[in-house]
Amino acid sequence: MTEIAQGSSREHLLIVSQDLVNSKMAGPGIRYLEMAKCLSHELDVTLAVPAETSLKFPEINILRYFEDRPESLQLLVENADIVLISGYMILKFPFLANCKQRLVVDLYDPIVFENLHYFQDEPQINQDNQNKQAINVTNSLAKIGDFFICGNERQRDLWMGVLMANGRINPKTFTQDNSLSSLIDIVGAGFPDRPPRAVPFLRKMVPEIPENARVILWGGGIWNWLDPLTLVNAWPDVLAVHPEARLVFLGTRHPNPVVPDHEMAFKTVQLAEQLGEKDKSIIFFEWISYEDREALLCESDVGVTLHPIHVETRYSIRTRVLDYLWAKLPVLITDGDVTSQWVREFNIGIVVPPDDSKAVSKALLELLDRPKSTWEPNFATLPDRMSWSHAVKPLLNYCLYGRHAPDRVPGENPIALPVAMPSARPVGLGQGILRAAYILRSKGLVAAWHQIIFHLKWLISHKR
Amino acid sequence: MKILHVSQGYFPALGGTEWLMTRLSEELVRVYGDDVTIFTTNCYGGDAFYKPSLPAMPVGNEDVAGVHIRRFPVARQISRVFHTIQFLLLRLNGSVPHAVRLYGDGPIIPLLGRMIKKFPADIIAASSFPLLHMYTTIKASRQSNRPCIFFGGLHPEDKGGFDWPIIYKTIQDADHYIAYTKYETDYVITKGASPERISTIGLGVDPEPFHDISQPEAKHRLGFDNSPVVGYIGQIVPHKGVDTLIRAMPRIWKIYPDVRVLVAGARRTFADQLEKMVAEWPDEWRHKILFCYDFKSEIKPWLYAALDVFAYPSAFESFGIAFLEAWSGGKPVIGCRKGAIPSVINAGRDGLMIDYQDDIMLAEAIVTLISNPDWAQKLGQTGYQKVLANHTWPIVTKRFREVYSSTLEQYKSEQYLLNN
Repeated sequence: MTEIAQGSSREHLLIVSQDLVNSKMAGPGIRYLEMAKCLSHELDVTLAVPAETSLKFPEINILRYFEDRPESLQLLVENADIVLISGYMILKFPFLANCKQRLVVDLYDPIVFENLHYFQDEPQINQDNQNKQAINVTNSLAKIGDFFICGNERQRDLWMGVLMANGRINPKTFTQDNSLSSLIDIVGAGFPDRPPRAVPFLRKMVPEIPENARVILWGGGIWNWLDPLTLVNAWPDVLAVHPEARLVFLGTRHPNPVVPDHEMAFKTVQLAEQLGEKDKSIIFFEWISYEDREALLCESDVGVTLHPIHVETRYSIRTRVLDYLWAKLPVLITDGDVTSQWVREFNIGIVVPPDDSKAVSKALLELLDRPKSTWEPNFATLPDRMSWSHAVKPLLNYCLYGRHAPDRVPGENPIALPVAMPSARPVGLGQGILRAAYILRSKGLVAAWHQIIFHLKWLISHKR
Repeated sequence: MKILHVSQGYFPALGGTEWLMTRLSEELVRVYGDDVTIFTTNCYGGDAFYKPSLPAMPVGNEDVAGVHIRRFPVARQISRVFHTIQFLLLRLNGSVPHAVRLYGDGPIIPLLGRMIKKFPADIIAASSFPLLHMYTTIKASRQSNRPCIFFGGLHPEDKGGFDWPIIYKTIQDADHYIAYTKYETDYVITKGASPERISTIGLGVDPEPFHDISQPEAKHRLGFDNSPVVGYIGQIVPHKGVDTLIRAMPRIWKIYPDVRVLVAGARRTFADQLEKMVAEWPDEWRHKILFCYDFKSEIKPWLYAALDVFAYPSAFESFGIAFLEAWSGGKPVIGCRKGAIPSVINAGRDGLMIDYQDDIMLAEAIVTLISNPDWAQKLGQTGYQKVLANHTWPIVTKRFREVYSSTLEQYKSEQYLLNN
């Protein structure tokens, strides 16, 4: 029997990002863009994004979907072989539960833990609703996936429990692969295969940063579950020894306007103001573009991330640390998460105990006293282990050789889909007013005004 | 090689099989110097096999482009009687015996079997099912000890036409079967055919006329401005889904009010129904649609060139040569996830697939392509490259000829073993 080929025999992967993928983007957008770029060497890749984007890459198709027109995503899903989804998408697009394509579920973001921080200041009923919803979403995802990916070994153990509770660890999946790696594997964060591009960004461009400045970088958002306050509290001690030091926060506001403000960002700005260092030796950017982020990394001397020890820390994956490693920045990090293990293992920075400003100032002084270049040899082996092309291998293998999970019938997932709970996000006018009133009460007029402006901007961009 | 092709029609008769037979025969003569003869009817279309009132070509012999054509008369009056019986039985009974259907659809060619037996061909190839001449051909081949190849052009979704066991018994009796798509191959295997005796060979197109026409010029020629144009080019019959496109348009106009629609093809009675649908639209919508019936073949590339999106939401096709024509012009295509079409369109790479009669998803597909012109162009260009790699007539003819040669060799070996 002879047969002709009908065009590309490469698998077609659709990655659905629920966060912005644009010149300014946060962790999820970066993750999916970098994964798409990396996987496009061996797969046909389409990246579906929720808002307009100015980014273009010849190797991947970036197409927009519309939350108010679910068919716009359904069309893309039905024209792919494999679909990667995450988080709350199942709520917005229930058809995903019954799609006939192979479904990869990305569990790298433990939303249940995040929400505990996120909504901590909300009324109890709201917290309970958000918690129930996140658990329902997680359970639904556990039921419908053919293959699951997560951020690290600790997460894999966590999600194993969830999969087991949802009946996915069973004789069929065990017979397929008794290690269960073909059910759930690790696709952590990574960094690009090329070095970051150094172009002038801070020095000479930002008046507060002199030519001889030593830059300490907080290289991500100021989220509620992190601890920038200990860093700011330690700052006067650092400044006393190194008056040329500058502390730069990459972003006070999530680039996606639908994401509510984080209380921690206000507290940090407020503390810097109290110290009299805001816009002097402590610089806050609202959010910078993906390209500028590279330049900022190159101009920095130390990368910092601090957090309290809590349950989110244990399972989180701090993608900003990967950025530091990419730029060969020595890292100052709190003990307790996976990335702090890396810092110890590779001797690429200093690990401090939680909530200890003295330890932080001591470590920073030590890091600033030592030339940045002396750390470089310690980073030499990292690209082989932590580049995106290494990180995506389990997903690539699944796309190339995997199949539907043996316990899932494509197109038939008899699950009770989670019901959308009243959201803390202003989805309608009434809820928007309530949310604005809440922010006004809890955070003040400036914060409320900020939120309204961002929401309006988002509405305009989505209407467009 | 001395080849005898047997077909229900031949150029200037219109249709997929007719076009395949014409281009294949001409290429075999032109490129390989084969001696090709075609036995066919004198009818312009399938209706004429049982409608004596329809015009017909002169019977007799002629040579065109080196191909010897012999057109046989058809016993239309006999088929007419069977066709009437078939019609009545369908009304009264809901079903029709196969023999009645077979003789009703024809073509009844009284001298065909005898002439095939007499004709000194090395190999005989016939197309297409479910028509009567296929059975005549296999019987005559067997009686005259020549290998017989079928390319059946099956439409398995058309249960009335193709759900007859005798078709698949006859395919098993043939020395080789050429399917147009993997879907067709899989289907005949499930019906008992031997996989070793099947080849999948797509159909062909001449891409040049479609490729180098300026789109603005084509739009201007058809009276369109520079607004996006979505179009259907094909027979105006119910199963082709052109009504789905008409139903989808209001949804598209909510987002892109300037989009224009072109519906072009051989006019059939279904066109009245479409025009009735359009007549119920408000004036502002009616002015956005252009019907273009029974155009000359040289106009066809201009029609495709004017399009931004080619929508062909058909229920069943043996291949869907219209997709090849659209790709030849670098156009993104939309087809249905039904029958052989998923074997032709590579979903998400050279076109988009929707469910049959799903006007909401068709609208969404058109909107998505119009919203993303770079991507739409990429899909069209991928299709164009696929045409160049697999579906030009020289490539397709080479594959057909390889099958003819290997079948002939195998037949000779089998005969030798039988006789010694």
